[in-house]
Amino acid sequence: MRKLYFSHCKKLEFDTPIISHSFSLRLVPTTDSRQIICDLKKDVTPTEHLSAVTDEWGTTMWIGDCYYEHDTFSYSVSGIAWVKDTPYIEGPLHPIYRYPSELTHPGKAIEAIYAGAEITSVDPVTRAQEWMHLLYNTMTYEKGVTNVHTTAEEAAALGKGVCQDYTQLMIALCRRDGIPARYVVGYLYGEGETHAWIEIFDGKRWCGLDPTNNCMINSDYICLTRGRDYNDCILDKGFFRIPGYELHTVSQKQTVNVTVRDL
Amino acid sequence: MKDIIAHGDNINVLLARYGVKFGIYKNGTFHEQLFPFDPIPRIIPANDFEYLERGLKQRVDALNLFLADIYGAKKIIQDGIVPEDFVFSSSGYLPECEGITPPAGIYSHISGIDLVQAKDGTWYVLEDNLRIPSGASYPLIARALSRKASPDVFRRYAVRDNRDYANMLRETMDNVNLGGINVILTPGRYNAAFFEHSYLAEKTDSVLAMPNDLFVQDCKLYYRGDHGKKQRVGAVYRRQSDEFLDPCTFRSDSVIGVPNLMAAYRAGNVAIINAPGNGVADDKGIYYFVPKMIRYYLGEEPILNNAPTYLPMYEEDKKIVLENLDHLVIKDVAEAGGYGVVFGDKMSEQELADWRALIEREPRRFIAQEVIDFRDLEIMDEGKRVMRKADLRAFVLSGAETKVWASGLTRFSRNPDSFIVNSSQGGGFKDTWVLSR
Repeated sequence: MRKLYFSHCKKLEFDTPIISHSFSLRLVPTTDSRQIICDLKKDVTPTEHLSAVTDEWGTTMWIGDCYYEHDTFSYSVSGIAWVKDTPYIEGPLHPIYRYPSELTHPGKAIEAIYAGAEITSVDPVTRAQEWMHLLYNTMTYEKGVTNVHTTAEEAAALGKGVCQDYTQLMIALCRRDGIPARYVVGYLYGEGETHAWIEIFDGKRWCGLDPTNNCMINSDYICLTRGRDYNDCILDKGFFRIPGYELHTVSQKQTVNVTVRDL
Repeated sequence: MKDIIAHGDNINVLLARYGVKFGIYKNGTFHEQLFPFDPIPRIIPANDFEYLERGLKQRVDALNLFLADIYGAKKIIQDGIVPEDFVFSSSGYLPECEGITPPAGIYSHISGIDLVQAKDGTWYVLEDNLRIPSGASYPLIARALSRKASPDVFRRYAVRDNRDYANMLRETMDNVNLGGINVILTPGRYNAAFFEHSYLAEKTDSVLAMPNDLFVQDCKLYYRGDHGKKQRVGAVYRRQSDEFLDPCTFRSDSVIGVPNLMAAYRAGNVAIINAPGNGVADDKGIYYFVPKMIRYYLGEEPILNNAPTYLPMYEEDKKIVLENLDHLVIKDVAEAGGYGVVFGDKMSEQELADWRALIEREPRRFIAQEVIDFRDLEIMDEGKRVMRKADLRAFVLSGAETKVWASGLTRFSRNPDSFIVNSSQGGGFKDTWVLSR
């Protein structure tokens, strides 16, 4: 097993003070058959109450609030991950991963890719690899052309995108092809921000593939949270008001810093 | 009876004065309209009600078991009774509710079951409403006013009192309350059923709360009272739909939700009435399987009938639907409130062809039903008695035991040619009298 240190910090700066701020954070990597998480340290500032609850997929969520006026909000998590050099993760299949989700509904563009593909393998993992190679060869990696709301279908029509788009498009194709698939958010060694990849179910266990880098996952990958698509894996959500009754849009500046290094 | 009919207009005036209104959105703007009351009651004899009561309890008990199964072990799917894709591609299924056992194991605390009676007297269930069925307040207040106007009538006819709804509802909330006050959470003044929310809060001694009055702290739900005093909430009877309930969990653009309410619910600190995720059991497609559920979970024969229903996703049913489209009614499984319902006999040849093509293309989206020959009810129309289509929404409350309210909301269509009785489509309502003998 490889011993990795990880840290993840995010700072939000608001252009006007906010109040009545409620938030939920999915920032705790879970120990599973592939990774062991220990020495976890966290800091959330400012917060008046913070409590932990486990969500439907076993991910720990921190929920909290801050009622007094503040114009910055930041969190940081760090810890040690022991990671096996394998793409396989033990765990049951929930049937929801067989069906299209909000961001992965196939449309004309995905159906066209699906119909035009020559996938020959029988084994789900090798089939998924073939889909991955096909996507890697047809899609162009480009930042700024898509956003977090972009669907797999829109990314397919555009032929461009980032890791979220590659992953959702591959999920759409795998599910269309009868292979259960789920969306994973986590850390990748050498990346300064969070990364997204896919896990497919091979009949017995889950297997991770990274369509953006056209490879199987290995000990460079630390998994944080999983779900049907990006919408299930949003790491932080917050709702707040501004003092008084004026209608006013608050804009915010975000700074994210993710570090993963060998220990 | 003449007496009560003579007071019909007065009662409508009083209903208007008490603010018994129904809000609807037309072309994006909010209109409030009166929900017209017809003074001639629907009368259900004691025998008929005894039968309905047994059938409704059986049905709601099976639906509650189905919900517990779907969000738990999923045995009914493994045993091949309900197809997997039907459940998991239903928009009412919420994976966020997986693994949560609601207090006392009850999912549908307040169920509104819509029935019609055919000309031959047979009752048919048309729809189960397990999310936020509305309408109980209308017969309640209409009865209270009629009783004041014509007290003798109620002595002569041996009508069962319906004022116990408030107590039944309160018992239902108390039964699952996890420590704290009972709250009725309204989306606000501009909701279609705002009158009902405020009326039921008053009658059940609950606190009527707007979304901003509630907040979650340390995975517990609180009511923000006067002068900053906070009160723990043990049960929340919410009247907004699931997708707006908690912006941290569902639609993030919801401004009528309570952030992190689902976390408090998941932690077992508050009961949500009705439980989120119930939409998977009152989906118009799942309706087809309710008789099968009753046999599967209870080992009993269904007491109440479903209207004969076809699912075009099954090849044999699709054939029947395509051949008989001109006398069937087609319903879009995702729509409610009388929207998305079309009648084959009203279609031109071209429309029939278009619908056949649409059903071929999206078989999972629709169900088809035989049109039931309703037993019409008399209503007063400008001083004359005329016959109109009507249905009955029965209210079933699941507390420590399952109870059927001895009354209900009878809705009728004011348009002589229409089968659609929904209040959002301009229908009216009647009191429903259950006789004690």
